[in-house]
Amino acid sequence: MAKEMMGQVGTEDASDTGEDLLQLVSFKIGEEEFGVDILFVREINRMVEITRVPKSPEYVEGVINLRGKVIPIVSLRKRMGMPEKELDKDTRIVVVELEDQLIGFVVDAVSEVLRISRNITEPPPETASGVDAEYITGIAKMDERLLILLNLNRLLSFGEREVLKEAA
Amino acid sequence: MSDDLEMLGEIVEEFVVEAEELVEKLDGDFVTLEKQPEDGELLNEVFRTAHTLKGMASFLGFEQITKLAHRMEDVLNKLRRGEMAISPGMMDVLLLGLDRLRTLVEEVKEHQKDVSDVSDVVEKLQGVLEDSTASEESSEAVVNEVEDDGAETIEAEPGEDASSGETEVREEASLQEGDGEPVVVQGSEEPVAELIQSAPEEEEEEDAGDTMDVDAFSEEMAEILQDFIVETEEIIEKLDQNLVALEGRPDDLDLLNEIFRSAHTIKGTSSFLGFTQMTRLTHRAEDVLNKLRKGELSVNADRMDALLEAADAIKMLLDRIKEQNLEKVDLSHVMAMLEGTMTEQGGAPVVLEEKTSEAEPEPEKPVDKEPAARGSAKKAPEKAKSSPPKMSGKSVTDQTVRVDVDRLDNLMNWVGELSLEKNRLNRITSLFEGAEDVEELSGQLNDVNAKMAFITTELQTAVMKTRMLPVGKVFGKFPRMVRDLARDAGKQIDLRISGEETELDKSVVEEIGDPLVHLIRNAVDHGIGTPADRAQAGKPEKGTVKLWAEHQGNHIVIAIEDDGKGMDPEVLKKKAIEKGVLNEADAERMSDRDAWNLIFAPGFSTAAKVTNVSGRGVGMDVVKTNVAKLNGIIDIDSELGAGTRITIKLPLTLAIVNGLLVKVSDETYIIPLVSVMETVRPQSEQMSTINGREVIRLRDQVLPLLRFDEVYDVPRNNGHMDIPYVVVVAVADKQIGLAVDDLMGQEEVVIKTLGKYLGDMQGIAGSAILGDGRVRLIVDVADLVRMGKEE
Repeated sequence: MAKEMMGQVGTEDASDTGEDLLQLVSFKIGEEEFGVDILFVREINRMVEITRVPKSPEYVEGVINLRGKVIPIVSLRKRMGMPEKELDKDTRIVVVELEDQLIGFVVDAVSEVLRISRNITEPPPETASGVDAEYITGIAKMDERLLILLNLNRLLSFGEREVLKEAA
Repeated sequence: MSDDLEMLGEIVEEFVVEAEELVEKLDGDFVTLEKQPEDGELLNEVFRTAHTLKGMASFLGFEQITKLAHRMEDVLNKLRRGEMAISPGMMDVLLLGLDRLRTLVEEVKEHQKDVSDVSDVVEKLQGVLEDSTASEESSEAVVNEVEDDGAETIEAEPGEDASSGETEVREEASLQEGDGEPVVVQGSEEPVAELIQSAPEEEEEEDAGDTMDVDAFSEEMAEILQDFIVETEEIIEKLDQNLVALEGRPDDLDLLNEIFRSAHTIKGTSSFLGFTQMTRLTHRAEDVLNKLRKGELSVNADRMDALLEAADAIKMLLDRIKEQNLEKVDLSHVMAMLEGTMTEQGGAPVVLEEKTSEAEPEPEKPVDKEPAARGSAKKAPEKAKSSPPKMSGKSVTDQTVRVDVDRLDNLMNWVGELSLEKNRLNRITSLFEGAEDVEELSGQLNDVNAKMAFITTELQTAVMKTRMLPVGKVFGKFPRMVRDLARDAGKQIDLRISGEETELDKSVVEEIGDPLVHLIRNAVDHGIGTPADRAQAGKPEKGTVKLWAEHQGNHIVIAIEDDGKGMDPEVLKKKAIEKGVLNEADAERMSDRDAWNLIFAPGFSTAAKVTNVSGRGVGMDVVKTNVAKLNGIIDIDSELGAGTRITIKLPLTLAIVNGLLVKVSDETYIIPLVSVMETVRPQSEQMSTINGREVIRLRDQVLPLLRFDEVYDVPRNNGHMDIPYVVVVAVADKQIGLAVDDLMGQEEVVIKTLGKYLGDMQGIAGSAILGDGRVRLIVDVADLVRMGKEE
């Protein structure tokens, strides 16, 4: 239960400096900017060679060697149904830990680590631009920028995984 | 009857057995000592034995024994310190003391207390102590009260020796004394003695279930319990084997003693943990064994049956303990069987009659009488017999491995070496900064590198070895099984086992048990004929089943060989057609080997009659499934009229795989070498299609051909169709060809899972990180073969 809660950006656990502050890692995919709770993020790596895994879900790029551990890599673009893009020097792998497992996300670029006040977050709108609303816990508005807060557990929910495994 | 009392009763019994052993040991040692008075080692040994006896007796409040043993210990202590020399007179006194000890232990056995007075001997010993020139007369020298132990103060008769009549009177006198207030018991130990006295003998009446105190079942207990389970399992296994061996060598006293000790140990430990049912059962078995080893009873088939039955029941009880199922079990029939064998006539009325009739081999109709003869009596243990392998899959004990200390030492040693090299590496690295002579340093670096490579290999082996178990752990139960099966079927079978010391990874050992059971049952049931059949075929009436294991490179091979009827490919084919497993056209061109492999087809059984052991067509399927799970290969070789050999080839471990690297388009994959039969560069005439499926002809075989890139959706930039290499892989009984672009060599890799997120991907057994740091996928050959069949 506790884990479930922690999976969502925007709970009290998310901040170590008081309940009104959120610490996020922000990254870009296309023109959209996303944020995930920094507590989930283990490290951010440059692109490395990915070994394709046959018959895996389409958005699974494959596996990599992370210092002796084999971890799966998921393309956030593909996962959220956005068009594919060539890898470039800005492409990063954001390694997160979810349910005791390391998983890497391919993102276009990592922007910065942000501290934002919970006050500026809003619940997700009915239809978020291009992204399936169920992965979104909220929207943060900062001056000109709009940050989409992602729910990683939802993104890789167990139910979905089971279905995909069967489909594979 | 409270459990406390019962427990005490058990402890006393335990004491008696051990005391008897100790006294016996002393007896032998004393005699030796007389011949070798200078033997310091022996003196120490004797001293320790007496000391142990004193300790045990004092704990239980047997004060006569304590007093006597104590005094003897004093004498022995002086002897071993060289303060006295051994003289014949002294030995006489010691031996006399020993005889009295024996009497006292006997009394404890009969009446739960030691009653006869020992002051006379104690005085003699005292005399020996005070006069180092002790002789027979010494006892007259001192007629003193014995100071310590607060001994009773009966005036001792300064007799030359304890004449039997005198002793008797004494015993009676002190017996009365004992009935009232216990004579002199040291402080707190008194209640123990008292309790023991009042512990009645009718303990068997109440067959309470094994109890486990919930509070007591704390973590600590859990640990003790786990040790108990592991140890008892080992003992039972050994017991089983030894019992079967005993049947062949009924006069082997060493063997009998070993069996007795096994039972005794189980009794002791189970009693300590309060598993009363198990204790009671082993106790009863021990009684029988004790009479056997003393020669009061002789080894016969009924007694063996009863003992084996008891072993089964213990196994069953242990399994229940494992499951923490503590309901009481009905053991009355086993108890009755044991009870019945306690007299030389060996007449346990009901059960035994049944047994004896079964004991007579009736070759004509062994199968038909099965249900009646086995009846309910055998059912429970039968179940117990078949269940352990399955249960072991989840039981607590599976989480632990018992490792030989030598292996851990070895491991430690290599870890030490590794850190030495690491330090060297550090030093060289620091030297590199601003170094002039880089060449010299790179030479050193090479050296360290080579050393590191060597050490890590050794380390890997050493770690692997901690997981290794001898396959004998599995083989152990087969002599018993074959004996029972043969007896039931009225056949004579000699099971010869070799290579039981061959080691396998724990996980493999656990999985291989079931398949072997089925294969051996098959050999006994279908392979070996009845004595009459065999005689007719000109073979010795006694059939032979050989079970052996050996290392072959990175694999282990286990084979089951019988000198029975052999398998007729034509009969198998006919049967398969009848069962709808095979069509006539396929049968026509089927090779003998493929025909033999038909026995692995689900639902296939050639047994004319379905017996309770095999013939239902499930067994061989289990064999195939389990062996496939282990990435093993099964090979059948049979000659009609001469026998059948089934060979299983298995990887040594499931954690490390020796892999063949193959290249397909731009991707590299690892195929476990254990599954690789051969690699070929096919000629175009070898390739063809049957029913639209690609096949490759290889000598007399036609194998389905799978294109690696198609199975694994490997992207191809140039759609070329030629097949440079075919890797022939096999799992269990099936072979297929796998078309790849190139062979890249072989490498030993550590298997890593793909993790929960990706789960079990079809066709992928896992991944490995190669020497270049890249992740490569390991091919699941079992999946591939399945795909090849379905396609």
